[in-house]
Amino acid sequence: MRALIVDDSRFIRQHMRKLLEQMGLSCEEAIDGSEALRLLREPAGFDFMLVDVNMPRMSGLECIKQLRDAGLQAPMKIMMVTTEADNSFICRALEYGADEFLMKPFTPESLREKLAMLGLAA
Amino acid sequence: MSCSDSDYDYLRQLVLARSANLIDSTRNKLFEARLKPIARGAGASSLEEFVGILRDDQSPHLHRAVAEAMTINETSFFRDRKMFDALRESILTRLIEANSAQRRLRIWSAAASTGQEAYSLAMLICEHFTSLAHWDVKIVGTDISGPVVEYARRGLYRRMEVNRGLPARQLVKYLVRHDEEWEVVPRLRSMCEFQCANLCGPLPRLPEFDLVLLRNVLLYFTPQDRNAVFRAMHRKMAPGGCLVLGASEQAEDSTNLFKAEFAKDCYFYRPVVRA
Repeated sequence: MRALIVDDSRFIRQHMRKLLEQMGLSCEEAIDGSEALRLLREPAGFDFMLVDVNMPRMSGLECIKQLRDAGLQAPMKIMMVTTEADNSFICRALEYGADEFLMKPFTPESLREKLAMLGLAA
Repeated sequence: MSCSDSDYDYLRQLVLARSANLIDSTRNKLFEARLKPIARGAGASSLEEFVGILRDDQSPHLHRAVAEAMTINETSFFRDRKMFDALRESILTRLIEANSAQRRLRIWSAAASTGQEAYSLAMLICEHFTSLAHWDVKIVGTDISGPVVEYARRGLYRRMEVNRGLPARQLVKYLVRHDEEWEVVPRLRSMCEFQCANLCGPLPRLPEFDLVLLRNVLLYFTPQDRNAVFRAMHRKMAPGGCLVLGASEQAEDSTNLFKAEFAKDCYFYRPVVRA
């Protein structure tokens, strides 16, 4: 299973990569929404994208909106991973096409549970 | 804050007698981790000194605090999703059908800890059994620890807690954010009530339950205490009720008070009807 990690923090990307690889996923990284869209247009598909909100050039929300509007990688599950936690923001992310939401900071258990909710882990 | 083997044995016996929780010697370090705040509060600078205070002062308050502090409070929303799937797809459906005449359902979250299991049950009912909106539904959560019960009653959870097991759509529907805490909505809170209860002691006044969740508790009890709990559960259950244990627990029940059934990857237990 392939995951795309989209976050402008190298530390967060490495942390998430380590956790996901321990769960058996292979990972690619993007530093913002526009790099994520470029990778998502390539033929090799992804099963799962974890995306931050506040990033330079293109935010996570704009990224998933463009992705869903263009019908790219339609079956791919999208989870927003961010410190933003207002109910109104979470609702907007779900409306734009996110499947799940994880607040930072998170534990390995909470990440694993979210993957299980999305049918990506036992 | 270490102490001698005889001090650990004293603590082990105290906790076992008070709460039936068996802390074996491989987990001695847990005494140090969990009892440090109480020891300091009692004026002790080491665990050894604290055991000395406990031995000299037989006040029930301090002994109860030790037993409560050693209780495992690991929990999360929708912990073990397979069990909640089994409840939704099979167990609750059957119970609702059986109770359709009286339109009443009583559920016991018997080791409720900080309340996530009880509120998860309330969410499950609101989400998937909308016809129960006009039923008399009550979910009773009990726990041995007073502060833990109080926490459950408040219905306020921190970021790390709402991050565990709770789907985003249910988070925004059933909890309201206040700064760094999330509050369970009044509709769910009105379905749940919480009380202190020691499963191995005399139980408080409780109704007869259609569904009992007793998960991840019995594995810490001695066989004798497990049987005592099974007898207590049996007395508190409706004849057609269901008992659900933790995924790694089985009712190796020498009391023969329950018979096992299987639904959607999950064992549950029916009380053998009393003669």
